[in-house]
Amino acid sequence: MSRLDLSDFDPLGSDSALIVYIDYKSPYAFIAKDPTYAIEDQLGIAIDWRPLTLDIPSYLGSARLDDKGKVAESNRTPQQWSGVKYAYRDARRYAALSDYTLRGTTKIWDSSLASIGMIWTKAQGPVQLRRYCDIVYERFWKRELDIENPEVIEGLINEAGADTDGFEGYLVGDGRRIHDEMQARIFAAGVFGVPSYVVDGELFFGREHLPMVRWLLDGSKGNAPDIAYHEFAG
Amino acid sequence: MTEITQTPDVPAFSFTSAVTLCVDFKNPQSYFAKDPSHTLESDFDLRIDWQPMLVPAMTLPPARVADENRGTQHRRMRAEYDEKDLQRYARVRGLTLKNIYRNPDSTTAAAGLLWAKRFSADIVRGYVDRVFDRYWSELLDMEDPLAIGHLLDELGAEGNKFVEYARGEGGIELRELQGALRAAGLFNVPGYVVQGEIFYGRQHLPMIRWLLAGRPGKGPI
Repeated sequence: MSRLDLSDFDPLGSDSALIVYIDYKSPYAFIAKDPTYAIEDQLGIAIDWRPLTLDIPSYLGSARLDDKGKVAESNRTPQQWSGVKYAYRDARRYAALSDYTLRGTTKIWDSSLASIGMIWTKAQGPVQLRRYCDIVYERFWKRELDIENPEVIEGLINEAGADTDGFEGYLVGDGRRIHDEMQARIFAAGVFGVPSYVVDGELFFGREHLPMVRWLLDGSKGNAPDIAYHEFAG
Repeated sequence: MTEITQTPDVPAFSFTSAVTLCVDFKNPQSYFAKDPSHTLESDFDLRIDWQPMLVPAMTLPPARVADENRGTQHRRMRAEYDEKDLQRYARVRGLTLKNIYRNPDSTTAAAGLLWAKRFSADIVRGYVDRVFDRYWSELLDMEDPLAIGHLLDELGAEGNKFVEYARGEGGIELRELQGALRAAGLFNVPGYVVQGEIFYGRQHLPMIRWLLAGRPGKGPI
């Protein structure tokens, strides 16, 4: 799929053996980044990385913290808060194993500009895309990145080694149109969260499925594995 | 790291075992955690402290409607996915998984676990195995105190005295335990507590093994 065309876009199909859906504002997608790279590198496959820009308030309520880190606004239920707090703590302990900083966000960010930047950068090559993903994830989770600022996104693309000529117009024109249409089609196809993996049209939600994803991609040899957070790197 | 926090007024559960595992017999993810947790016990020569924790049952995904809003659509898709995922790993594991949307009152089976704990670790293990395996094969009415009593009898755990226990002391003990577990920060199953950290789901077993082994090398991600 080029960055200008959605005619051949299939949410559950690709020329690549593996589709991976991510959103930069998801801590779990962040933690999944390196184990997913490891599968790509170890199996010598090219992953078809795609953005899934989550609409978090629609299913998990919304909240905003004040400057002191206290909840300033919230429409979340106690159960939703328990789940959200656990998710951050869980992601943080795994992030720590990779020496990543993962600070809780102060609001629910609109990550669509970063997603459009991903589509743009992806069209220029996998090296640039991986670099872009690394920079966005690592800085965003240190609270060092305003992913709602178009100039910031353009700067990141440039830093990732990708050409930015025409990006400013793309961001508000074709890029926005493609992104929005892509999101509608992805969601309609049943892909609802990140990280999600698609192998042969089968959807797996969460990095705990990476042992199964790897097993499928590696010829389904031996017994199929159970879910696990497993170290693939090294 | 996930901290165990205490809520006011209710004393938090005190975790004294190397591994505590909170399960609800009507919860399929608890069932799926059973065997790999037994393997953990064998590999590390330890006894898991199994604790009953009551959580809501899985609910049938709502039917698709024409004017479904995004939140409703998301929850329906997630519920449909969860069902497929459970069936997928039941096949992988060779487990029998009958209707996942049954919603029995699991308090009697939970009280049975507390009763079994009065005897021995072997009886606890036998109880956990038999309740999970039979319930998920639709061979056990877990709401029936007599059925749970018979099962305890099979294990030599004085099932004839269980009915009285379940009606009285067992019910109180179970209620107090629920408050203490929640005061300790638990809200879901299967919930592992290891070295003061809470982990929901068997996918964390590599991390739990790494912690029990003394954190050698780089941990699993």
